[in-house]
Amino acid sequence: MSYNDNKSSPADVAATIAILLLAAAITVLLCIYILKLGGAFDKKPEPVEIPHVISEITITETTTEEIIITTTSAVSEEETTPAVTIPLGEYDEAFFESTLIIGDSLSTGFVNYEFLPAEKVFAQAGLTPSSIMFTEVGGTLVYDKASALNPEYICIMLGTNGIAYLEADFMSEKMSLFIDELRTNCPESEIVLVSIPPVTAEHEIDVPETNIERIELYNSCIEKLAEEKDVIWVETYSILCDGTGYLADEYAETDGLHLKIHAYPVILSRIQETIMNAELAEEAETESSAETEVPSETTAGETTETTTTPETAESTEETTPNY
Amino acid sequence: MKKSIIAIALFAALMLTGCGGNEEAVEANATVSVAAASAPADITAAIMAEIEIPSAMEKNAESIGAYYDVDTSTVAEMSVFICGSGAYPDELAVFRFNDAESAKAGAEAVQSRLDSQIAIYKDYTPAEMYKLDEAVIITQNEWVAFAACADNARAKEIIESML
Repeated sequence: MSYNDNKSSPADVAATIAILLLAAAITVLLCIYILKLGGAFDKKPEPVEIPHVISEITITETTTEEIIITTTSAVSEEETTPAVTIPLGEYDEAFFESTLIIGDSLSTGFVNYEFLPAEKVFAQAGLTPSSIMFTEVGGTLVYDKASALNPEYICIMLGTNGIAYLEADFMSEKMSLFIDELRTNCPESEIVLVSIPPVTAEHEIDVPETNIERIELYNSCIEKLAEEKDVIWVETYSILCDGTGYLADEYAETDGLHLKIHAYPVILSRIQETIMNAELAEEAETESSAETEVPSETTAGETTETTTTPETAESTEETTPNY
Repeated sequence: MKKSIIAIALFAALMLTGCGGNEEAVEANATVSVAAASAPADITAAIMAEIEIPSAMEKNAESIGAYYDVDTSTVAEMSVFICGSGAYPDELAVFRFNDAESAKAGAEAVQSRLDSQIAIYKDYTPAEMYKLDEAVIITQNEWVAFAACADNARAKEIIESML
């Protein structure tokens, strides 16, 4: 065999290079494919619109799955996170079409500032959890208005007027009676208790009896009452605070007690968010009960998938509102 | 860099000039309104140029029913402002009805509103009661004007000068 015989021809060299390039290309494509497969697990879920609810609010697959986890694997209530997050102030008017707001002068703002129509609000300056039961507003008692409207939700935001001279326990007792009466008159309506807002530091100096300590005590009393009565509790105090526990200037009327126009969309968005989450939690609980009775393979599979994905828990935390 | 600084300086100067111009325009309009009234909105604007209505919210024919029991079909023009926060009883309402007969019924509705406000606020904010105790209701031909504010005497002067 001569030297020339061992030497590759140009055609052979070209063929070898082509094979090597092809192999390299296949390797690169294979790597990309593997990376994509891995990426699928990292990918955050796209927001999915709730078909039966308003378009602005989105629910993520992550949070929906979280409800499934919570309800099917008996995770404690403390670990439950809201499934719906509504940015503060971005409430939906349509949501409040079947809602009655009951309150004092603070609630007259819903009508005065034209966030809600007058027929959806029963409010008057000076009302308390006690006086609401026998005071006529526009010639009508609250029960008559509520039963005529027969709303899906009845939101009560009362107590500010009693803070200065009524004990929190007394007002809570009256609120309890009021809830009972409303339930008798409107058995189909879901009752919602809304916390009362803070006052400004200046107001506390002017009227020391109406201080944030007493307001917080009253709010904690009616929060407990909400649990006892199995009604929805909406916490709005924290979203109206300035960080020091007092009513933020941007929301405060010059008297330091009443609310400027900007406060109302914030309150409404929190009410809507809380109600929607309460409904979703109830639905999940109902589904959970049904699944406990008749276990299905599909549900069990879904549960296993969601619980084993650490990213899911991470994204859920992100959607938790800062209460 | 120099060009940018010049542009920023020019922009700032324009902004400052613009703000000053607006203030002058408001004052000028108020003066004109006092001199020649032609609509309810002119009267309320003239009053509000001098006297503050806290958190003032204007009400229209659609929303007026929550406050005044007036037949809106008999109202030719109106301008109504209330205190949105509900903290104060401050309120201005000027109606021009279609005729004097309708204005008479309108005046009764305004009186009824005042009575209701007095009943609510007398225990609620006694310090604010002077606004309601000294409130002004003026009826003249097809006009009805109501003022409950921090300076009812001045509001009355303005109304009377413009009707």
